[in-house]
Formats: sequence, C-alpha cells, structure tokens
Amino acid sequence: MKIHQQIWIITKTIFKAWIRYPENAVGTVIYLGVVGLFAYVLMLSGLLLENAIPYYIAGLTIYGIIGQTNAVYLNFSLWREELLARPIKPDIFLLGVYMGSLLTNALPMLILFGGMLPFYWSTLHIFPTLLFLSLLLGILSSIGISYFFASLGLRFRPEGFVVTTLTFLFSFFCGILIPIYIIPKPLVYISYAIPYTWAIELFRHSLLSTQTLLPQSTELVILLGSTLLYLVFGKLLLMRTFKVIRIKKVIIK
Amino acid sequence: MIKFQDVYISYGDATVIRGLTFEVKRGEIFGIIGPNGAGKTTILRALTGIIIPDRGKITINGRDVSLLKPHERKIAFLFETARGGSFLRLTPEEDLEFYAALYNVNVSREKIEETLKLVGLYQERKKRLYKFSRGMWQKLYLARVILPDFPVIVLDEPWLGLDVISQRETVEILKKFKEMGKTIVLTAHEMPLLERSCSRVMLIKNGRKVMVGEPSQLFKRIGWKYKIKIKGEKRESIIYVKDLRDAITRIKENEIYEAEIEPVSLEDLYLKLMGGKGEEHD
Repeated sequence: MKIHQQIWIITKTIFKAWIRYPENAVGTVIYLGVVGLFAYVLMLSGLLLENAIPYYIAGLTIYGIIGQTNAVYLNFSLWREELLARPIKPDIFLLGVYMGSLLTNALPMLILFGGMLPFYWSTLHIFPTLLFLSLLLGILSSIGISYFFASLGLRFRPEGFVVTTLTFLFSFFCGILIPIYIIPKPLVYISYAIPYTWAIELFRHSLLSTQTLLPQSTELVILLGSTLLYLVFGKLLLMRTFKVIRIKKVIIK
Repeated sequence: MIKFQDVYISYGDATVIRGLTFEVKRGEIFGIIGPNGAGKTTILRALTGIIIPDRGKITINGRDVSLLKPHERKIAFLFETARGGSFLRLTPEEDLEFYAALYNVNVSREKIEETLKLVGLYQERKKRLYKFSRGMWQKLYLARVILPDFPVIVLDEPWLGLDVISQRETVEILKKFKEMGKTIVLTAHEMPLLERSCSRVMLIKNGRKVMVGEPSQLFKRIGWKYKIKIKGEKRESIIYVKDLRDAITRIKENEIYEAEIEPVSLEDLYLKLMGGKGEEHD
C-alpha cells in the first residue's frame, strides 16, 4: 500500500470515529464554554488588554490545528501491539492520526473563526508570511511533541494520568486560556518551554497585531529552534521506545 | 515452518520461557495450553516479533524472526489485550479497511466483502460496531486476521468469553482457514475445542514444554485411555487407567457405590499433568 493511501485511510478512520459521536459535539461546547468563562473573567478584571472575542477565537483556532498530541497518545496506546508487530511505520500511523485529529479538532474552531470574521473584519491586520510560518512551524512542533506522546502511548494505558496532566498543563500554559503576560514570573518559564506558546503568539500577532512577549523575529527563531529540537529528540525517543520494548519486553497487559 | 530453538525469555529478573524448543508444521493448527502465567502469550509475542528472546532462536521458513523486517514476517495476529481497541462507530467494512492500512496491504472492496462472507458477517457489513454482539465481534477479529492473506495466523485465546454457538462457529472458521493453507498458532484453555480443532497441541508449564503431539497421540504416550469417576462410601475420586480390564480391577479393589467410565479427554490429560512437575515427555 502506498504511503499516502495508508495516511488517508487512517485519517478518515479517525475523522469518522469522531464525527459519529454526538457526545463529542457536547464536549466541544463545554470546552468552548470554559474558555469563554476564562475570557469573561479576565475581561471584567481588566487584566486582558486585548479585544477578548477575536483574541480567544484566534488562539482556539490555532490550538485546534496544532493540539493533536492527545489523539496521538490515545491511538498509539490503543493499537500498541499492532504497531509493535505490524508492517506499518510508526511515522505513517502518527501522521494519519495527526491529520484525522486535526480535521476533527480544527473543524469546530474554523467554523467559529469563520463566524467571527464578518463581525471583526475591521480589527484584522493580516501578515500573510508570518501567518503561514506560525502555522507551519506550529504544526511541525506539534508533530515533534506528538512523537513524545506516541512513546508514552506505547508505554502507558489509554486512560493514562500522565498524559491527561501533560495535556492540561499544555493548554493552561500555552496562552489559550490565560494570556502569557498575565502568568507570574516563575511559572511563565513553563510557557516558554512549550513551542505552542510561540506559535499561538505569532499566529495572533499575524492576524490581530497583538503585542508579543519578544520581537517577532526572536519568537520565530525560538519557535524554529524548539520545533527542530522536539522533532529530532521526539523521533529518537520513539525509536528508542520501540527498541526498549522489544529487548527489555516492557509491555503492559 | 516455525521453529523455536532453545528459547529463553525474561521480563526483568523473572524468566518466563526456559529453553523452549518446538516446531510448527506448515498448514497445521497448533495449540499451546498451560496454566495462567505459563508463558503462552509470551511465546506468541516473541513469534510475532514484538519482543526478542534473550537466548535461542525463532525462525519462520529458516529465517530468524528477530532479523526479519516487519513487512517480511507476514504474520497476522489477534492478541487478547488488543480486543478493546476499536472504533465503535465504524462499520465492519471500514474497520477492515483500517486494518488493511495497519497491515500495509492493498485490499479491494471485493476482497473486504469476500472476507466478511467467509466469516459470516456480510449481512452485517453496514452495521455499526457498537451494535455488535460478542459473537459478531469474534467474527470481525477473525476477519481482521484473514484479511491480509498472510501464511501465519497467531491467535491469543480465540474462544475467550464466547457462548457455545460462537465457540463452534469459531472452530468452523478456523477449519476454513486451515483449508486455505494457513498455519495457525493459538493459545487457549478450552480443551474440548482444542481437541476438536488442533492438529497438535503443546502443554507448557513454568515456561517449559511438558508435552507436544496430536491429541490422540498424547493419550497413548501418557498411557491412559479411560477415566473412572468413583463414588465411594465416604468420598468421590477419579482414577486413570490403561484399558477396560485395568478399570474393572480398580473398581473391584474399591468399595464402590457407583462408577462412571469415560475415555480420557485433553482436559483430563492437562489436569493430570499440570498437577505434577514441569518435566518433559516429548
């Protein structure tokens, strides 16, 4: 089977599996409600310096596009033995899952984004090159992080506490719930270590001309550097995990 | 076709498989039986290349499994632990398409339909999986392993949790696979089903081979032919004997109210042997 066929079948399977669960729509509404609540509280308290609606919707849109790590973890955990023994390459499976999850997670956010546009068109200041780069590097960094989550998926159960905690930390510190400039000093370093933070910052700036923590060129360099780092070390970790499982035989029952 | 040669496998400090040597011939259904923790699933994992033995060699057609690239192994399998992982809102057709991608094999729509017909799921091809009964799931699992048309099929506990009808259907489907020339290696606890479907069985205990052979040969080798259930004045007991004359002698020897004589089954053999030490009777 050709690689693109394999990726396409996995992508559409993941998409179908999600879209046929009406419960997922309810989950999305609850999630949007929680984010909306954060936005409302921060707006009332005067801590939020931006126009809340486009600011939060832009953040949710790019997070919908890049936040696929949980799906990668879950599917690597579910299909562990198939992946360990069968002739599918883990990178192909990862890409298929990533794309399928991207379609499902990004879809409601893109609808929301499209719905926002007519109302806030005048507030947009689009920088196309930066928009493209922030999306591209955001996706690549997310694939890099997905490699780490794939390794965790091979070692832990699908309902793993570790990954739920990590996902929560990511969404809390990457700037979609709370703007980075509000996060106090020691904690903000966690945000700096997450590449999503820089992708979200640059994406928002490229659409809404929001203030960035550092000059955009510096943020781009940090995003590029962390993307390469996560891609290389993530891939190495996944390869090592396969080797360790085969040789040390660490398999969960 | 498949050879285990002096294979040792450990999980950390615990040695699970100890010097196991056996051979599976092409086109046979080979059953592995043993108590929980005897190392049955470990044998299957090593055969499928998921884990590598610490010592010894596993070969398929003379080629070392651990050196084969995944796409060269051509082993389809169903592990008991993998049964939960399914997308419940898919149809069986979609599920098999997904599995074809996992196996990295090209399958046409016709091939998927043919596979569903083979296992008796064609009528349910448009039904969502969450509406499936346990028996239908079993057929789907078997469809998944026959779909890629690999020469070797590995099944971990194929009859686990099935009702009698589904168990029988599974036996029939396995026989069809055998007729198609597939070599099947399976583990199970259901002795009557193993006796009916397997060409040969291997008994293992504590990671060691206790006995291997055709079910009928095993009875001959162990020397018992009949089992006598004896109800005495105070207690009930079971004794195994070589022939009917021996049986009558034993009945006479005891104070007996009631005695039932039955041919020895694989289950009896298993219970008798597993009660003792893991010695080899090959």
